[in-house]
Amino acid sequence: MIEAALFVVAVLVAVYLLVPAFRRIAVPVADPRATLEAARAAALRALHDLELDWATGKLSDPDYRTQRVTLEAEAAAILRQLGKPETAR
Amino acid sequence: MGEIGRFALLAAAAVALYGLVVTVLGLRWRHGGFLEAGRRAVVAWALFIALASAALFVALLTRDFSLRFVATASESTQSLFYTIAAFWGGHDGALLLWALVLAGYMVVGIRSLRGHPDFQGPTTAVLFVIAAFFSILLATASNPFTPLVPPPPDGQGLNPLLRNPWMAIHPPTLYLGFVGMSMPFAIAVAALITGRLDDTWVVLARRWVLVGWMFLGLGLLFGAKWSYVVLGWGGYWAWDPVENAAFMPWLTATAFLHSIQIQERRGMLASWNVALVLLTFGLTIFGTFLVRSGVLSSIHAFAVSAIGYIFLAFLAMLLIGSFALLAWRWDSIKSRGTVESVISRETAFLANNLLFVAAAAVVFVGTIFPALTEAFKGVKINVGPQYFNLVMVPISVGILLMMGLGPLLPWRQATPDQLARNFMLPATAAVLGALALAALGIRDPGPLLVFAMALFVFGTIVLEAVRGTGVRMRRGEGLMLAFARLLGRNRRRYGGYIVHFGILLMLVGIAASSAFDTQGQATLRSGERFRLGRYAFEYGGLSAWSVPGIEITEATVRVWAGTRSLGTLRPQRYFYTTQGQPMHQVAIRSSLREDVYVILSEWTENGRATIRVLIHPLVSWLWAGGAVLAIGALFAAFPERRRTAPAAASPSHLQSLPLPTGESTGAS
Repeated sequence: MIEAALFVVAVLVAVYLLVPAFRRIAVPVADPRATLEAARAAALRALHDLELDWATGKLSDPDYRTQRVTLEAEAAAILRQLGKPETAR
Repeated sequence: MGEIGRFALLAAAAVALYGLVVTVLGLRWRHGGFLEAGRRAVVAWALFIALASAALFVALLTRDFSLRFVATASESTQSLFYTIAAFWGGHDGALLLWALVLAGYMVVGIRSLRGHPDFQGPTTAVLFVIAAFFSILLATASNPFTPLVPPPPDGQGLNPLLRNPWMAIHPPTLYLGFVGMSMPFAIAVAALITGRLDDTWVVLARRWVLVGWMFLGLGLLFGAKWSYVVLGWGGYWAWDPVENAAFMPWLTATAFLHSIQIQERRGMLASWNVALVLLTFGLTIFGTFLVRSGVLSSIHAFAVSAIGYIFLAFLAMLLIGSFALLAWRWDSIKSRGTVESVISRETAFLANNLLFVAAAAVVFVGTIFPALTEAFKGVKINVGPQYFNLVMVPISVGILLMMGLGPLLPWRQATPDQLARNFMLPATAAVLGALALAALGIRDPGPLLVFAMALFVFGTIVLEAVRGTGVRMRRGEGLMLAFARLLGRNRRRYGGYIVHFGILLMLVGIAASSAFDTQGQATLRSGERFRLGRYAFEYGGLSAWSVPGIEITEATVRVWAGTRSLGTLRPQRYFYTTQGQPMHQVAIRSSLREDVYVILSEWTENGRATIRVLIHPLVSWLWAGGAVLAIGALFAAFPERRRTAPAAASPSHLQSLPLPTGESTGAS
């Protein structure tokens, strides 16, 4: 009885595993937006951290300006690539 | 159950190999059907491992002594709790638990990579290499369903050392940490295979490392607690090779969690981060080798089996393969930034990374030293705790220093004015605290330095919280709302500070309990007393009884602090009749200030008993610190809400410095 049940399980799993190997399925292509979204999140987090660092007195005004210009330029470049510039809420 | 278990393990091995082959061919031939078959194989493999695990649970619960594993890890008088814990009480079951945890991580991890098909395929292939290794091992040399002919009438029972709630949860937690490092390892190798060595893999791997790191830390702590309450020597950490085996990957994972911030923020250390992830996973396999091989003497000798050297071969293959890939890709992993100033956050993080890796190296050398001396001199020479303490104390102080400096330093560079403004308060707190402690009689330089540094770090954490809350309060938020939002909207940063606070508590607890413990013992008649420190202990006699499989002897000890009664402690001695093994059941009165730890050492027929007492200051801080650490790690791992872009990501926006409202970036 147990042997028969295990045999059925083996057959069902084999079918489950083998069927897609004989089908034509398009290879999923990496969405460049996924990488850009990650870069966007990192750039915005960096900007946010910079602002918090400045507000809590870790950065001088000139250093803050310099770093913010750089980070905003990076963020703007990523947003341009994403093709959906966002505005503040 | 044996038949089902053997079938499930054999099927799991076949499916793992099938999944590996179709995934590799799918990647090579760009065949979507093969890749889909590989993804299905992940689910099928997990189901077969789950089926084998369920079969083993049923076999244990039904006392199926026709299986060798069940007969060696359980007995008919064993409680339900320890019958379940017996699953990981021997090496075959422990390996099945490892595979079960890997199955869970694989199903969730591979699914989480759906949005990154360029990573999903190679990551699946790498994980199948690991899955195939464990499956083949389980189906052959380490099969928990190996029959025992003829079946004995009763089992040998779980090793008495393991019959403790902390030991019941220690292995699963540790495995969640060990196996958790498989996922970032596979993602890093996938990045090396595909050449996708930008920051994407770091983003994908970070949360897995954080989760694995948290479980590894908790596993270490549960193991320490077990050692503290079961072994009866009063300590919680002995630099045992098996303890060290779990500590090393925790150290390198800690280094990784810091250095990825430099990669994300400054585009530096990309190849170093890959190396750290590879090394961390390699150390988890090395740890398993140490536990299983018995190559080094350990209190964990109950886990020894012949498969240790198979792990060593697997480790060598993984490390050689993955580091060869890293060498192959070395030129394409470029750092985008450079260190602009010695006084900057990146420098502090770099220093902390070197300290963590140095600590791992120190532990590694100390751990394998006996094996090296045996190989070259024919005799095992242990370096002993003195070596570890001598080297690890200064490294720990250095790490504490960096823990305080790093968060208050800005990226790129700091000016002397900022340094003075940011560090004046914490440094003053540290100096005043050290002077106060010295005035109170604490003159030992080691602990004094640790306490002073802890005060310094605590000062920096408080300063960060106060200043951050102040920024939000200036926008009109109330104190509690400002503080809650500061934490909630900066999870990574403040989660890290919570972890730092937990580490502080732990280090203070370790320093105090190691340096200022006192102990004494006395052989007493009923009604007699002895004093230790501010405590008096009155022995009230012995009582004895039996439960199935265990003979219990208990002493009654009344405790006073001065004239105030603190109640009665009841240290016990268990004698496991099947195994013929005695075990201490220590009695502990724990408070924030100190632990009173009472052991029933021995007794005589005429009713005299030897009571041993240890007073450990601040031990509870160690356990509390572990809980805080876990809370901080979970807090940091929880996804942050999606940020929106600044109103104008252009230089013109900067003409007037905006208020740091957060809403101006939509990101507070």
